[in-house]
Amino acid sequence: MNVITLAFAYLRRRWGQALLSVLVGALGVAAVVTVLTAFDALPDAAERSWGGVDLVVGPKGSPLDLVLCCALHVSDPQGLVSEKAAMGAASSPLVRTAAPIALGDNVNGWRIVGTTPAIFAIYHADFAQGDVWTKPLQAVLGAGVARALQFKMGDHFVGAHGLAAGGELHSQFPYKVVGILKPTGSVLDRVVLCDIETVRYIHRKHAEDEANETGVAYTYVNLPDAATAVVASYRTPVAALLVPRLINVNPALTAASPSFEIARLMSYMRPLSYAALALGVLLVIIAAAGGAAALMATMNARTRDLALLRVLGAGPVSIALVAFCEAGMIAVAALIAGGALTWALLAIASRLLLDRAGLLLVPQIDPDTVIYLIGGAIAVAFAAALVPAIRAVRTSMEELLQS
Amino acid sequence: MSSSNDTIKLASTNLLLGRDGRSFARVPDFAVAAGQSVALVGASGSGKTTALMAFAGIRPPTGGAVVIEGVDPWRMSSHARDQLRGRRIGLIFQSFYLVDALSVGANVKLAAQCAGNPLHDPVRLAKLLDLLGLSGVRERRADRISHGQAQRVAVARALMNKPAVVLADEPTSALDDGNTEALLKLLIESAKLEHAALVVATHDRRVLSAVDRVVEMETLS
Repeated sequence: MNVITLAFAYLRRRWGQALLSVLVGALGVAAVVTVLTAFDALPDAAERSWGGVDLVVGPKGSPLDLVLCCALHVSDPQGLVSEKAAMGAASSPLVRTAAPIALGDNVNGWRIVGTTPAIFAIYHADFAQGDVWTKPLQAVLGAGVARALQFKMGDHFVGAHGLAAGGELHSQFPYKVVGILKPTGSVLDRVVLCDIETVRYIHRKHAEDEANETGVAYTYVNLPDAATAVVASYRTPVAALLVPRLINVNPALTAASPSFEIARLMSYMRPLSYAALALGVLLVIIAAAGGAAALMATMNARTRDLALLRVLGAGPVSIALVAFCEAGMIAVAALIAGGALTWALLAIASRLLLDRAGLLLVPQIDPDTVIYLIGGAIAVAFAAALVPAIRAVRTSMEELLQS
Repeated sequence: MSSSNDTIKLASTNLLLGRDGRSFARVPDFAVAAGQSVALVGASGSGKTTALMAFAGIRPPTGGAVVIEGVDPWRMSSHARDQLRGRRIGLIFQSFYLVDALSVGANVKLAAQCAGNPLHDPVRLAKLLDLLGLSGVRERRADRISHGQAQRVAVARALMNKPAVVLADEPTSALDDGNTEALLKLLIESAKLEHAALVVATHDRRVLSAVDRVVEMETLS
């Protein structure tokens, strides 16, 4: 008996029921693989986001805030430091490169970062077009910013005051695009870079105007070399043990390590990761139970046909094989559909994370996960087909004739 | 074995039918040769279908013997009995029991495939479909053919493996006179052509004049 042909014909005949089984299975597979893969890829994406920054030196305060503001660019600055003081603190034989950064403006919500060309070495950034600024009010765009704002080389734009969109426009200081970076997967993709003196000049003018109006002198007026922080990369991993400790002795400065602070943050979030893991396990159970129930319903509808095969002389093994083959086909289809759904979900999630948080998610499905999934799907198919197969083998030749 | 015995396809000797060792019916002794037809008659509940199941090796009798082409299926292993049923017995059900998911051709072929019969070949299938006027609907799915066509598919499936015995259970119960006559003609002529013995279990008196012999079930008190 051609078991595969028969099983396929049965599936085609009750395609709606079979489709439902495939759908339930595919949703379960997609949910589990997406959760597992995303949780594996997120820490890597965060590390990629801060690029080659090993050290952030800023004003005295929370090191975590400093990292979130100046390494990941997701929170507001806590104050200003003197560039000379911070660069001096970071100047060590153990530090390879250091660059000051000055925040305070944005273009359509994308941060404008005043800095020096040394920053390109820290983030290992290359130019897709153009080159570094040579004059004030020249800007280099991160790849994500250029894509989102559709800016081209030579375009002009105006920055707005503050780090969120909607601030007061600095209309008298238009920037010109002189360079666009290749994608790095780091925060550099979602910032606009320019000479630090440009940011200082614009803010000094802004502060002077406000001081004239209010009679209060702001920091930018009093601190000519103001910077938000200094970011640096180490020459050797040993530096992580020594450099921050030496800097933190300074009463005016805080040294923070992104990897250490994010690890600390993740440790606070450990209960959340357990909850996600529990959710994943629950999804596996729901998917397996749902898949098995749908398969059983499909197989139960075959009981009469399978009994007929017994009457026509097919042996018990052949009957069981038809049931298992049909369940197996549904399981394979669910795996394939689940794989495709996972790919689509991860692609959407990656795009959203890149656009909203600047995190470049590079999902890599663990081969062990694939093996477990295939094994699990076979087990579910086997379990679901077992009862109908036993029923078909044991019963119903008499029932068929007497019904 | 003599040549006359060779033509006896089915013989029933003192066959008792029942459940849990208790007999409720007896089949009078009879034998049917190739090309002959027998009607097994009796009221509803008299054990006609149970007798067919005993002949087909599906449900054991409580006593007596069934012999199909010289062998008693109830003295065989379960596996051998399945093979005997698949290869040497053709079954026709009252409701036909075609597999809706399969085409007409595939339904007929299924009998050969289930039995693992070496006779399964395209020429045989084509010949049978042609004989029963089904060539035109060979690729049509079984749930998309007429009632009359479904009847003929059931007959073709029963004959596919060149069976020694064709067992038909109440094949005319839901048919009018014209269709009853046509079906009986088809069954009897097909069985003759294929050299098979035909046993029809029925309570339909219209069948009696069409068959070679009538065997009446005996109910035991």
